[in-house]
Amino acid sequence: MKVYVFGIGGTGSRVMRAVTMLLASGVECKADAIVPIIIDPDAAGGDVERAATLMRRYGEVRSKLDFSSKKQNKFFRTEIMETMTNYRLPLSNTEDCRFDEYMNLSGMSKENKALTRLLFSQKNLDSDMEVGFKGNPNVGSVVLNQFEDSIQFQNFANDFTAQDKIFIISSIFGGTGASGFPLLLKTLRTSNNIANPNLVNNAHIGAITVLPYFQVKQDDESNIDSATFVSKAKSALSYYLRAISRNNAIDNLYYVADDTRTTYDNEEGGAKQKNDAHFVELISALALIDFANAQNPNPDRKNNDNLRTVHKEFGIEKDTNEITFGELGQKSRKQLRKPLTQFNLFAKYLGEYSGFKSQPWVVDRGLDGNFFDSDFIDTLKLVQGEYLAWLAEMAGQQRAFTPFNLHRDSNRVFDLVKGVSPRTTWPLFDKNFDLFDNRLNNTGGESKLGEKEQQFVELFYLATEKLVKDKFNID
Amino acid sequence: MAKVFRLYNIQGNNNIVDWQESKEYGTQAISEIIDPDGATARKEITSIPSPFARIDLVKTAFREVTNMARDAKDKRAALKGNTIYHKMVSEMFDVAQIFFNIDRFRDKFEIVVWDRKKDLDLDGILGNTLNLYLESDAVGSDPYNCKKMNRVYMLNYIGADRSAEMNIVGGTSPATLFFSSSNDLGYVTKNVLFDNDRPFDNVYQPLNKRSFDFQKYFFALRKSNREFARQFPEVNDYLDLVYGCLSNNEKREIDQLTDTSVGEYEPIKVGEREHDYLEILGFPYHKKLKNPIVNSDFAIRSSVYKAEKMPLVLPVEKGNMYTNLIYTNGPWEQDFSAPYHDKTDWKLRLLPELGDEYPYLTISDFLTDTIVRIPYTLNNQSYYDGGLVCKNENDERSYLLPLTPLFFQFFSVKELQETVPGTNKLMFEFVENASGIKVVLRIPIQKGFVEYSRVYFEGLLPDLDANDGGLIETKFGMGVMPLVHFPQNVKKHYRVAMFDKGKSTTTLAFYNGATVLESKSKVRAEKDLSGRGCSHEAYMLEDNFDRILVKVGDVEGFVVPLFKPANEHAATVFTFAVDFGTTNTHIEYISDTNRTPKPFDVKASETQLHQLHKRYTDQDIRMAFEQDFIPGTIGDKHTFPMRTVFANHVGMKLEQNPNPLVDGNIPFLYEKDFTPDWNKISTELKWGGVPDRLLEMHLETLFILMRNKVAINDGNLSATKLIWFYPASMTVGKINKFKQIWKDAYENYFGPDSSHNVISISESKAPYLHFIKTQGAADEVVTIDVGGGTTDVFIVENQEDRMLLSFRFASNAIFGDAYNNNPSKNGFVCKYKEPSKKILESNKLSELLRALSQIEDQGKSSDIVNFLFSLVGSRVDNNKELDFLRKLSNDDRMRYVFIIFYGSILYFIAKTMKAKGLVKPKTIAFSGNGARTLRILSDENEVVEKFAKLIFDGVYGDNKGSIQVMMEANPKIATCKGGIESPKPQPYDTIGSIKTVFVGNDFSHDDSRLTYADISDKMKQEVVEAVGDFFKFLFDLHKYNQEFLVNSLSADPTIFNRVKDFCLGEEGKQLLQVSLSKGITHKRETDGVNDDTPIEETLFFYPLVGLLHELAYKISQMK
Repeated sequence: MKVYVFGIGGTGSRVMRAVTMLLASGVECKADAIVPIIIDPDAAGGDVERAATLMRRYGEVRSKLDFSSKKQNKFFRTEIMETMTNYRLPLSNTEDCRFDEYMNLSGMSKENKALTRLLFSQKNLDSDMEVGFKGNPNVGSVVLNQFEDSIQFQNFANDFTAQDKIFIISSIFGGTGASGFPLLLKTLRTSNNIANPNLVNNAHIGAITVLPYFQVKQDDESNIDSATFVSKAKSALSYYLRAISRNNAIDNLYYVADDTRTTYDNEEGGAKQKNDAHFVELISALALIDFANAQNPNPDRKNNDNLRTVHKEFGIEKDTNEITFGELGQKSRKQLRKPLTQFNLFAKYLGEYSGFKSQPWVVDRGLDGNFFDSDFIDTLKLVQGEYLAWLAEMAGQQRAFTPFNLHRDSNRVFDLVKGVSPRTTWPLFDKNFDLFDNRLNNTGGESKLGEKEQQFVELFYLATEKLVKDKFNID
Repeated sequence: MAKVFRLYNIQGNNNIVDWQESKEYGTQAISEIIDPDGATARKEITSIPSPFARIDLVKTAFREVTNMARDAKDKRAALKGNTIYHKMVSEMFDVAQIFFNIDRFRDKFEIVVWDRKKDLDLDGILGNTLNLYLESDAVGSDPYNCKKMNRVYMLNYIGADRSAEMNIVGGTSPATLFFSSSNDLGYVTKNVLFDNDRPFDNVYQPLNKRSFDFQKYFFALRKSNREFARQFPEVNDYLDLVYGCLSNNEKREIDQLTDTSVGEYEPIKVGEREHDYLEILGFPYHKKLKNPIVNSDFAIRSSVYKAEKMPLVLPVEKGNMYTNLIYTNGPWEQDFSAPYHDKTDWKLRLLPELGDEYPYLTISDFLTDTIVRIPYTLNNQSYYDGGLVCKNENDERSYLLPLTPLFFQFFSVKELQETVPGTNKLMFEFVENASGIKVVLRIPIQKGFVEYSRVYFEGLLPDLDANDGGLIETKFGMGVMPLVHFPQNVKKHYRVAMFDKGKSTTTLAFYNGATVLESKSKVRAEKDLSGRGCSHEAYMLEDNFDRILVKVGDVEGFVVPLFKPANEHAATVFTFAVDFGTTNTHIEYISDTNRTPKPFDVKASETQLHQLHKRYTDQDIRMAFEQDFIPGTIGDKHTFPMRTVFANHVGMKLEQNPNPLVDGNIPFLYEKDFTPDWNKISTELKWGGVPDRLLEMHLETLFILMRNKVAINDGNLSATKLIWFYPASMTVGKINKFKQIWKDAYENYFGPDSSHNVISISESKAPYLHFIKTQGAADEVVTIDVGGGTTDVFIVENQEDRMLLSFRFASNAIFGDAYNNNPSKNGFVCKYKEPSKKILESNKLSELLRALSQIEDQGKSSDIVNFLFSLVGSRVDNNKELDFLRKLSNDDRMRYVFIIFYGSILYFIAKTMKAKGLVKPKTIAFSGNGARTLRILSDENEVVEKFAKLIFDGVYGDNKGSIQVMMEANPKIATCKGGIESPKPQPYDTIGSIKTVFVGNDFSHDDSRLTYADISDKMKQEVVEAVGDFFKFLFDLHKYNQEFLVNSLSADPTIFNRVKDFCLGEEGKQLLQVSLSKGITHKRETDGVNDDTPIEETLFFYPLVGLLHELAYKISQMK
């Protein structure tokens, strides 16, 4: 089963980053594959670029791994498929083009001109399509109405199977995401001009609507004014209620927001629009995983007059601005604590420790210098570095998700999980990376089979699994 | 406690942990989201991912505002918030209100219709997207009513300050009826106003703060659509809240609405087809009922105009002077101003700033664009001068009041001259200005006044857009007579003189209050376009008027005469005696308050013709008043008695019922100045030489003068007594005609009671009455009134009226043309005309020469002689050479003519008296204008008395007693004075018993029963013989009384024999016969005499007329 994930706009990309991180760390997902389709006219957008790069690296790492049933490793387990270049659905005619030109306003009849001018503000009409819709989803609703026209979208429909699911990620308060979501949904539900229209029209579709969780610095010159975020969200929610919920166009709808909000620099788009990761994005990523696991509430959509939408919200057990695993709900804690801690340890080992080259686990497996200098290790380390950065970014937010003590102190390697004092373990004299080595050296089984890359990752999975059990009693 | 990652305050399960099923964010939940920024965001919300985002946003906005207000303690305050939602709601109503008022914004908005069937372009990106949304949004409950939406009606702003070719400001919405564009619509704000609110501004107006008629319509609209609450739930909820905020009265009005109330409004037509009306989901939206009732402080405060919709008077200058006043529903704002002019009919106008169709007035409705200046100082005693004070006293100028006729539809002329009620500010003011003249006009409104001012600039064309007036100058003179307003039951007789000497044509129109009056007008002389000479025009009105509209070319202005109301309770009774004579006419009058008879006069204080200006430096205009009207005063330069003469327009048509002082006038300048060539002069009016209407017009002119005098002096018009005199020698028919004229004229000019107030007395008796009263005449009195045409004799014995004689032998018998002769044969003319002319020439009295020349042209000797008599007037005072009477007195030769004239009269009277058995008189009193020449006989009264006594003694055959001869210094006035002193009627039909007619042959019996058919050749012969007897008698008198004619009467002895021979000789006898025949024929021709007409006068004098005429001629030819 594949989940096609439409990540629309900046938020879509940021959530995809979180999804990738979770999948990299081994958070369990029922889907065999995630097929990201990023929709963002802002091709140069920082968030988009970062997410795409990360996903590509994820794929590179994963391509060396073996997930046959005997293997234990869950790192990079779920496939993230690149079915289109840069995971991005290309949008045509948005370069060097204003919205009025895009619509060919000057060529319209008087009546249509009038209607256009009634529905769209002059600013709308003057806006440059290249950098997105600058918080104007009504513009987006027109510009993005071109999915059907692209080969990539046609390919998506062509590949779509009855088991596959669709998940749409968008923010409600921005421009691109807010507009893309209903439009995409309408297209998916109603389009006849695609392959497998029956499958697509009646597919199990979920979406997360990301409500305001950050704000941008006040800038009178900017089209983005976060003071309107809540107003916009409210208006959009009402619209969704009428245009999406009430006609049951969606099967699963996830809402998330945060009222404690970090202020970002005001960037209307382009490379600079690259915001630090946020817990809400992680929550959103969890929504995807939840959706991937979920049953379709409307299994026979076509013949069902009694359609319903499952709405979900996310909560933690305790309201705090410094969220650790302890504050998460039980399920989330269980979902996240082990993989995130494992992958963290993996990352720390590779990133902070270098005295392992003569260790038995290395020698036994013939992991030579070439291996450690290989693209695979480089890419893995980049992913891990990104992972740690991602964690750090989330920890730096106003409402911080900060389950770990992110430090590079080799004397306190296991002073890692907040709220958990690492337990003393055998052998008593092995501490920190020595203990890590001890566990690596004592791990065998599947970690000694297959390609080196496979062995390597399998080894680390098993070792970190043991370590988190031993030191943090996580299982 | 758990933390759910949701927005503030969304009500829901707070115990959610992890991803857990919850409820949808429903309407309620969304509404509960508290915006930490308080929804005060300055930027438009743009987050709806739909091309119809704006429609959705407005729907949301309604819900938000409704929620806020529903929860608020002060609902009114909550409805009037300043959030972005309030803004959108406010703008929705702005759009709705523009549609509602679309009629008054026709110049500002056009409606563009987008038709789903026709205009949805599925091939275009937009059309494709719209279709996607319309189709998919219509699924389920169709929250936007997409299914029913067929058309979108949009407002395209086409007014001032528009920013682009197309400026769509709002349109209809299937979800909330209307919605606005999210653009900055400040340019609309600036140019559109309803009542007290501007659309699309920063002051967000909830429905309940808008005009109630609009609110009411919205409720009516809701009532009309049973689906309203379902289709527009947010608007419906909002209306419920608004209802709660209304006053009790307003609620009551709303409560009375039914589902058909909306039928009282008119749908908004769009497109060409009849059935194309603006609709929203199939229900028509309507426009405002026309003409809302307004209660404005600017409503005009008029004493004159009454209407349900009183027009507003609006200031034309911006500023805060009127900001405390209510305009229609809201205050007049500082930056409001009305245009200086508005081409639309004022009753159909659109109110400035608001656009409501409602009558209003602005400066140019009251003030003209151009003012007329006249280079003469206004006569501000008689005309309203607008308070003009010329900075330089010597500046002679005045202005027409630059007011429009419309002004007077609202205000009286009285109000114009006063202060605005309740203030100390004058309604109208002229203010002299270096570059022209400034006019300040204050129009009373419900609260105070609106002040307008306009400067009229010399030499500039008017520029109404800049409120600059133009100024033209013209020359004209005008006068109104009289300046008295009469009560309703009194007939009005106004005359207005107008003399135009400007480049443009000037005309007059007359108004009384709201009425435009009909006036008869006559141009007696066209204006000389070369600049010499003015037009001579006259208007006649038979209604009171209070102002005159003067049109100078295209420019108009008003003149407001200061009329004095006639005293309705005036008790003063005036009595006039009018001696309408052949040559001269005299009027004497008395009143209750002054019983001494005086010749008719018009003092400066009782001016009848009030000239518009104090003085006319232009001679043509100055002269025109006297040439064609009446002089300003009578009694100094122009006096009564005056010449009986009438001037009428040469083009006058009798069949057009010409009128006095319109088509003709008494030419007071006759004999004093030339008569303009458009006037035709008529003399000898009395005896039928002219059409009757001319006679009437002459008399009516006198009536107008008398009437005006009474009115001006607070007299009781209808009690006025009028005495007129008739010569007993006139035929009955002619007398009756006169009687009718006097009666009709009296009734026309004074009142109905002519039977009591019109008194006729014979010309014979009236002088007697005067002499009795003033001269103490004894018994046995003979009064002899010598007029121009007749001599009337009245004889009283023992205070008893004994005899009345009247014959057409008076001064014209001497000075006239003796039945059909001409001046070349008139001795007096031949002898005296040329010398007089020379004197005039040497004195450069050219106007008199021209006058004489014109009189000569008439070919009447009597007129020429009368002219010579008139030269003694003031113009040639002290020049004895021009004193014609004096010259005649010194003419010993011509004296023979006067000796024969007076001698024959006295002889005839004596013969008659003797025949009737009357005793010789003790007093002979002479009167009448003709009697002036009595003194030619002798300067010494005793000589005249002796002459009279010798005649009476000679006829009676004894020399007993003595005769006293009396004569007034001005003998003409005796008739009038006698009449007025003893106004006892003496109707013609009562004089029969004393009227004595001797044919003049044998003096043996009274011949009053004879008719003209009885005149036989024998009789004529006897008459001629009788006249011969008189000549014998006269020359015997001379012979036996120390050559009386030469020695006592100083007749020239050198020609005595020639005179005697002529009179007694064959030539004289021939002449007598011829003259008698001519006289009879003349009588028949001019007096309407036929065979059956009784003989009213003796034939005795007919032969003498011809003889005297010839004698005078002969004398004049003697060397």
